[in-house]
Amino acid sequence: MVRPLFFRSLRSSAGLFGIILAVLALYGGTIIAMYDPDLGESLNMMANAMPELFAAFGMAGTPATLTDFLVNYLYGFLLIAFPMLLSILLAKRLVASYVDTGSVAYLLASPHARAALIATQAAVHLLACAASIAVFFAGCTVCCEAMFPGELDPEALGRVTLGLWALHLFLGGVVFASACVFNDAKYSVGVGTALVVAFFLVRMACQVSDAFEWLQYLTPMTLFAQDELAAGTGGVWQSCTLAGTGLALYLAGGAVFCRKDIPA
Amino acid sequence: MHVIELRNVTKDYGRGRGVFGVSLTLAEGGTLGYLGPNGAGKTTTIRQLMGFVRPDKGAVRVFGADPFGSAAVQRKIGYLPGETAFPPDMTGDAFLRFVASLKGVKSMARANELRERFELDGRARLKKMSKGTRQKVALICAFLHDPELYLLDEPTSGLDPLMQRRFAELVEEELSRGKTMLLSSHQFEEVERLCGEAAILREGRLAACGRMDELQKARSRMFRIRFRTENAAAAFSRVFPQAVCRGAELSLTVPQPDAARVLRLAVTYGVDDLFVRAQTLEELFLHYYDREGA
Repeated sequence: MVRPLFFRSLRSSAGLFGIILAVLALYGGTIIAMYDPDLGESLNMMANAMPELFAAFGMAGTPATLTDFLVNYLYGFLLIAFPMLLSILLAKRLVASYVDTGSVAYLLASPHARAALIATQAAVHLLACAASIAVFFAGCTVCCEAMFPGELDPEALGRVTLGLWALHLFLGGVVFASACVFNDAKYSVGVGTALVVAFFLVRMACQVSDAFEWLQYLTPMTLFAQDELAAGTGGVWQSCTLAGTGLALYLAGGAVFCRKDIPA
Repeated sequence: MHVIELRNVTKDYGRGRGVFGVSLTLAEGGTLGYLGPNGAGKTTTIRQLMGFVRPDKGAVRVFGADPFGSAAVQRKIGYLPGETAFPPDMTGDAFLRFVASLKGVKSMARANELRERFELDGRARLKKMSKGTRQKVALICAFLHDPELYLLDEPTSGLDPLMQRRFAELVEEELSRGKTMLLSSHQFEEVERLCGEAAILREGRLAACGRMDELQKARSRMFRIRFRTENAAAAFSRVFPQAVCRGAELSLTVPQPDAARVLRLAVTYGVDDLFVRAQTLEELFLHYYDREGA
């Protein structure tokens, strides 16, 4: 780990991190505030009126408790999309842009091994993603307790959040590895982004209707089993698979970075 | 020990780009001017010396070690990239501090001294800076950790004549301290003045390489002779068919060893006026460049 680079990367990631977190807080707060045990009925009516639309955004079934409500309305779309966006933008900023513009020369020309340089960037990437989810979870729990004391099952939401983190380890691994493997931004940003966006769109499509259910086998995101995790009935090995694959992708990307030609 | 050693290095990027079978060495304290037209492979060579790029064939050694990904070798090198690319969101001063901390340089004294020398105002954001100002930032980055070897890819590009002179002074100071330097350039005068050795690269291959004084000998001598009569000029030009005759005046370029013979013969034909000069490095270089078409 290269300390000056670590702090510089943290600083240059802070802005993006703040914006993504602000958006999450805004939407998250609004959604939590929308929860009303009595209003559930009217929301159900809405969901029954346009089930495909609700389902596409991961909002299926009839959430009975606050926990189910959050898992349905937040963890199905918002908490996948925004940290994923953060992941993509940070992989670009921390690795892809340096290599594409050639400013990586100043990093490579410093007395640090490539492995130390890329490990530093990977650490910042991992940290930012984990922190965005952790901060959101903490804020969400506090918010729920303040607005609806005793309604939230923090343990169940915690399980889903860990599952979500595993999913983001995987997605982060994909975009980070892509940023490490290619030199040209067209590919280093493009390939990773295209993959994770495709995974995401397929997940949305297969939630729309049973007719598209076979699509779930085409996206690794299916391994994020939020309902089972919330109910405590399963989803653990799926999450471990996601996290393990994700970390392996970070390592593989770093290994390629250490060996490849970098025109700088 | 050679500080730099390239043994039969080939890096093929396809379509004739890259370097092919380049071998050269540079001893400690030496200065090598690396000349060649755009796309000749100068930058490719330097990137291999920096260990950014691995050769397809052959061996690269810097301080006796393979530089690819070697942190120990990087510590001893001051590198100036051919393209000045910086992180866009930093000011010049912040970037210099960042590079110094990356290199483990505690004191900014040297950087400040260089900043004054090049009259750099580093308060502006790097992306707002002019080409010349960015080049100054890049130069300071290369010099601020007092390395043993400098690899400078077109160091004076974008600098005005005054700053070019400041740079030349800096180089001379460093050389007098026993530093080793490889300097790629289009500026022949610069290379002629600063470098003890020169290598000329054309289409990825070494066209000429040697000590500056030897290259000096390899340079042709260019005569302009005015004879007393047109007949004398015409008679003289029959001995040297490559001579161009205009009335009594004649111009002629010959290899350096033939110079004495030209002089002796010209005298016998009756010389009115004489002007001789050595081919410049630039002309020598263009001569290698032109052979492409020949």
